[in-house]
Amino acid sequence: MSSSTDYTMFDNPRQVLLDRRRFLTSTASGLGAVALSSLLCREGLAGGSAASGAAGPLSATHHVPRARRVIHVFSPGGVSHVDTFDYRPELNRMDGRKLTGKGQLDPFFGRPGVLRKSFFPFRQYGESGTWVSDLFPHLATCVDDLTFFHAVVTKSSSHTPACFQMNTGFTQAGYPGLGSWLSYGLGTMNEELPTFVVLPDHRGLPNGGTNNWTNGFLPARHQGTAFSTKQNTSPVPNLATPESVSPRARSQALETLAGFNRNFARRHPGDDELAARIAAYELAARMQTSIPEAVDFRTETRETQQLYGMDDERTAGFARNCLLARRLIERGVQFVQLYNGGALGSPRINWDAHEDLVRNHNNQGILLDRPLAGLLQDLKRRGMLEDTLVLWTSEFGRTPFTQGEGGLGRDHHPLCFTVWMAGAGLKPGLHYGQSDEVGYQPAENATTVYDLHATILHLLGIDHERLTYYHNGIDRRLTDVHGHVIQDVLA
Amino acid sequence: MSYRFCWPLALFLVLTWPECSLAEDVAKLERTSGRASQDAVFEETVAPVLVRHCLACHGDSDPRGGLVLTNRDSLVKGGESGAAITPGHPEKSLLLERLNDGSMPPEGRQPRPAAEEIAAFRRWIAAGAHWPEGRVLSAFEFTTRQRAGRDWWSLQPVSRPPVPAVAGHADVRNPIDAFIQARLAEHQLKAAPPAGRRTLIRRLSLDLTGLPPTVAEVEAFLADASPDAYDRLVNRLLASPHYGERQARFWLDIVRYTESDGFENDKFRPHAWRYRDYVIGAFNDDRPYNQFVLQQLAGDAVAPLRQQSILGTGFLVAGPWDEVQNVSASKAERSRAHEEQLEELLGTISQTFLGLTVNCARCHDHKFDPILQADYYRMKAVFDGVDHAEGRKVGNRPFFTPEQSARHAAQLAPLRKELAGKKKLLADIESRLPSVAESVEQQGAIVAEGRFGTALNAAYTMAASRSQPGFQQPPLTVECFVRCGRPDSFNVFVAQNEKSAGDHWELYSYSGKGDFSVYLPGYQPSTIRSGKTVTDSQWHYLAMQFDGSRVRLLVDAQQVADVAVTRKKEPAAPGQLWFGGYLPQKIGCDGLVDDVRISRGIRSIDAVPTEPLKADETTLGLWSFDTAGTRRFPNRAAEVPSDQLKLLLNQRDELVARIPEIERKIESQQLPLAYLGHRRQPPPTHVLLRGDISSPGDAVLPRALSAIDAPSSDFGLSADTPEAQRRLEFARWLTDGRHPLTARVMVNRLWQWRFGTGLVQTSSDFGFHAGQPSHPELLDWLAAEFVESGWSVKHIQRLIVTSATWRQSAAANLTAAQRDADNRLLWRFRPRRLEGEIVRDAMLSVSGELNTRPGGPSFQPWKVEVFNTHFYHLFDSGEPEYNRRSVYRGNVITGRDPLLDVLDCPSPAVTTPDRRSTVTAPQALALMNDSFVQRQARRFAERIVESIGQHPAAQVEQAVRRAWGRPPTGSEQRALMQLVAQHGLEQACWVLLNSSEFLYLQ
Repeated sequence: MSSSTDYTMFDNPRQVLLDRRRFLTSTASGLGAVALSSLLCREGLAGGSAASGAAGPLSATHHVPRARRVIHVFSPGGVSHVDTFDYRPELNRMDGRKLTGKGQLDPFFGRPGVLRKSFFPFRQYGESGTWVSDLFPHLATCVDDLTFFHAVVTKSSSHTPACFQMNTGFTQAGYPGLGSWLSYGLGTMNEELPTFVVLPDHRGLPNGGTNNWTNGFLPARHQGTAFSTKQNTSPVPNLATPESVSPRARSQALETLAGFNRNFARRHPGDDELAARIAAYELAARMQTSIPEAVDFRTETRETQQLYGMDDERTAGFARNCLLARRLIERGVQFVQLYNGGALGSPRINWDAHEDLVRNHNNQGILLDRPLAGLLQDLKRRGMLEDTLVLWTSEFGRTPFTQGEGGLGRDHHPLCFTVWMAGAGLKPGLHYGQSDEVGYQPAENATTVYDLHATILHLLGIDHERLTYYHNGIDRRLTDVHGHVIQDVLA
Repeated sequence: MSYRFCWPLALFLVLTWPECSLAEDVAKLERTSGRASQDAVFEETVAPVLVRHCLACHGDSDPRGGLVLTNRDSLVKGGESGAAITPGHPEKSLLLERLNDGSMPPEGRQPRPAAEEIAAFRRWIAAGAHWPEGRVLSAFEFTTRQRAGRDWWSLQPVSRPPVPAVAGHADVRNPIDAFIQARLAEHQLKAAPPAGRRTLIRRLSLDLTGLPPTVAEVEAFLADASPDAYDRLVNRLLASPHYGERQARFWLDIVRYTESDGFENDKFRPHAWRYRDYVIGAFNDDRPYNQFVLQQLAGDAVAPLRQQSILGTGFLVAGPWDEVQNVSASKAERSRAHEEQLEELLGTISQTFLGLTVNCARCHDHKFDPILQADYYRMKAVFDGVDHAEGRKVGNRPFFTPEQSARHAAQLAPLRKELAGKKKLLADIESRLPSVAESVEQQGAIVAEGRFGTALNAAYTMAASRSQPGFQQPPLTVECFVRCGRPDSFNVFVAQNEKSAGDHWELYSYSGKGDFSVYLPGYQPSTIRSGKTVTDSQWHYLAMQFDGSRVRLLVDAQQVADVAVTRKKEPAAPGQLWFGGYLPQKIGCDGLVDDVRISRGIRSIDAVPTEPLKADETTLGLWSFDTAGTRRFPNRAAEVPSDQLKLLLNQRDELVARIPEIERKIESQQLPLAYLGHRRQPPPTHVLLRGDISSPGDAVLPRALSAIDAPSSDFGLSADTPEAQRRLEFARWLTDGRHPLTARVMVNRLWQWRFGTGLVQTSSDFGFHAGQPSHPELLDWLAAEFVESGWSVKHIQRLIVTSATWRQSAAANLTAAQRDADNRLLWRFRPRRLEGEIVRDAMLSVSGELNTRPGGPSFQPWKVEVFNTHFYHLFDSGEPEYNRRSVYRGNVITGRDPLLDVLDCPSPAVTTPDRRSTVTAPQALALMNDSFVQRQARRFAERIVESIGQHPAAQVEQAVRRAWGRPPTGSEQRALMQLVAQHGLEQACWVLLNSSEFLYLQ
């Protein structure tokens, strides 16, 4: 049952077949040695131990990857681009006027107010001369390492569909996220840790909750593993042996179990899944030590901890997650997603600044600014930015006009907003795309979420049109039937 | 349309005939005279070439180079490069030239036209290029290497093939075996020997009912020597109520049955479970599949109407629904939501019943199957009237027939009348009685030093009181003292009734500026802001004067707002009054609230009071919050003479006792509700170009798929046919016995449920992606048998599980494995892991904890926290309610069971036609350490001790028999006894629950 096991546990048969074939042709044509050796290594690991789930279906990347891992910082609620990274001086001049000439204005809450200049002053930073508002004094010092996309467009102006789209490419629930696709496509680099880890905001989960890191239709092992980020709780459920079971009892019971499972597997030769079960229990036992080690900060210097802002109680929560992100990718986790905010409510714990943008963005900005800047600096000085892609997004931007006349907040704005990336394979300090004079619509190089996803996959060595999974009649892709790699930003 | 039936033959000829004989045949055909034979030449030699090689680019829509090759006129007329052919003159025919020099089809396009195809084409031109009258070619006619055409196998009528004769001593128990054995013989393979009886009873029980057999059941079956012992076992299990519980789970996966909305709010659907029970009942009753389909699509439109058929329509709203997007103020956003929802629904309907992905044709013609974009919108017209809610009013509805409802209403009328009268009387009395406020949600001291005496410490609690009818009736004056220092969030000081009520009013400070504001959702404008900041940590005296048409706000006796308002929503029944917060949305107030007074009429306010507020004749309510040491704050408006007060109190007590009695009586006779959604008569349906809501194209009528001729996809419906009628006609089309897909798709699912893999592997996709079935004749035989048996699901199930094929052992056979590793030919029974639900149920079963109570509302192992979004905080409980079968667990999208999750239970948000079986480390961790598994191991051990006593050898033997259905071997016995001796029986039970033999069907 060996080849059948491959697909009951990994993919559909067509896929395996195609990919085996692809593997042969790609090795014949002399693919990058790195990819090949990692492939062989994975194949070796995969043999008879699907538990490790080592190999992805790609077997080898489509081209030599620039990035090996991704950290995605997600700021839920909708960060105002015109108050952070998209400097629109014309907005100052137009302050207080109605926005005209852009067709029917159709904001989420239906009450377009008047154009409002940025609530924060902007200054220029770095050799790139990048404009950043006073909201981000620390991130502002990193601008020469960032690559900006100023004309990003998403489909929905409601939080959850827009969150889903940024994470999974689709506005509906139930599609696998970027991290799951990578786990599926590339396999794992460290079998003792999950491939895709999510670090939710310590104040709560985002809208749509666990749906944001679901494996969708991909096999369950590609699901994001959400670490508990509350202090003094186990980062992963069921990691510890229950206190009522002594270590000696557990170890003897495991030994007996392994004996039975080996016998059962022997009675069914060729059923690899049964052998994989034995390996899975061994791996689980190793994870019982590898995960506690990864989340133990005692080996980090005081200076490093301060760099992230762990000495300030306001920033300590997110700083811990940023530092943990670095430790996880150091240990081979491929995709770490951090949330800088939770679900809706009042007082708000995300960027959804309907009522009072200054107060809301100030509160959120402090939480994000120093820890994230610390992470970028730490990655850079350790040389990790070379092959790590850092991605910062929200689900959409905010209207350049106020919500309602006389309002102090801004409404949801999917038509144009800013995203930045940093690290592996990108041209640093570059600004791609432009919004119009007031930041309402793209003026140049409109970028869809599909384009962003295609580009990210490209950086990881994957052709977004060829990473597919057959589900319910369609060869599904992260980018659906859209998306173009943005060549202009590639170094 | 009869020419279509020639295609398979034509294709056969083209693909299989040796070159010379094809040419000879064509020549022969050409020699014969007459229009009919000329038509035949065209159909057999020309049409296939054009369709397979040319129409992908030169079809009717957006033709390359302006050249259309679907009809004779445009062929002769040609495109930008001139005429494509000149009849009678091959040498002057550009098309032929391009074919000959290989420039068309363009480089890279496969397959290339064969030389003899081109030659035949040439002869056709030379002979005058006869084109049958009115014939228009379509790219969807033939299957090519790139796509399926209308000649695709699954779209052809089902015909009952003869049962093959099988030679030799093959074990043939029914026709299934004959088909399987014949294929095995073709590949020089043999079926595995029959499985042993112990294996069979365990396999059969787990597969049909999802529960392992008890030790006694195993022994009884082993001891039953009668020849029909197995058949009787099958019958017993098919008749078990657990049969439906097990089979329903498969169906619920396919129809992505969810008990919560998903998306942003993920609200729980308390009445959705009735559809789940409907499905279980349908399997248990062996409801004919055609009825089952009809009821789910149009059970509210069939005659005679029955409760069961109405409940079936829960199918239409079984999936997720985005409340927020559907009630968005943005019209574009609402339309988008509707289109997305319909795509999801059409995808589910077409995949579930037709095995086709019609949803792929929303933006363009289907890339792989003969489904036109227009087909998508025609089918959308059938279901366009289906929605989950009407605005925010969700679709929980009674499911009685109209006659039952009318009878019921008449029965209840006297009681309802009595209740209304008594309630009115009570309201009247209560409006004259003072109400007491009580502190709720304490997180600290409930009072603090106030403006006068103590004040409500709203930072740590809020207070709630019954609202009196007078509180909602303008003219009205509300006064209060507040001290608050938090401008950055909303602070609610006093709020009357729920925000959704037309008479809600609320005194609060607005987040940001912290200015005193009033919210009146029943009026226009609804938000009145004073601009006067009151969140400066100073005491302020706030007042609202509201006469029904104007609202005046005063801060410290100074008027700060004066706004005219108009009513837009009717008042609701009195609800609650909240002080220092608004509980339903958990909005608080970070400060102090003191002396709240509600007065009838407009009270004049000239100065800030310097002493506590007093009650007078206009006072409806006054709360001073001066009662330290208790949670209760009396309403000091008790200004009625005491005798009268006593009388009123007596009357009230009587009413308060009587009203719930009547209510209970009515409640006990109340029509139960089901989550059935909302239906509306849709506006005319248009094709949306590229699926874009802002680009409507032609209007379309409700129809089924054009690729299917019989039964006809044209029901003769018009744009104003009632929506229920549309669904009914569509369902009738599906359940017509001639339908090529309905029966094939369902028997294939039944096959997959029993063998793990279908004859068609992609059980929800019978299109191009499906490839060919492993046993096409068997599939058709089963489909025909299914329809002829009256669409009996149990009949097919019985045929399968009594077949020798299903009863084979799981033994490996290395020769067979080398030739057919996937076991598609079924040379053995392939072991597979139990689904997550069955793992959980089997654990409960062997531990003796299983609560077999069937049906009814789902068990809900969570606490819901509503913080705009619904958060499901899971808990693990060993109470009997939580030990029910997994199919009765509330199937909510963001509150999934982590143990079931790691065992590959899918999200209820998406349709899942087949479960995967992964093996992961988190799965091992869960099976090792999850508190549920620990508890089952403990209870398992306790039960063994209860029944066997303290004899280790007997304990171990009993535990193994329960878990594995067999006695332990000597070495197994020794290993377990050693474990028991050193660490107790519980550890041995834990090992058994974690063992592959327990977790696998073999």
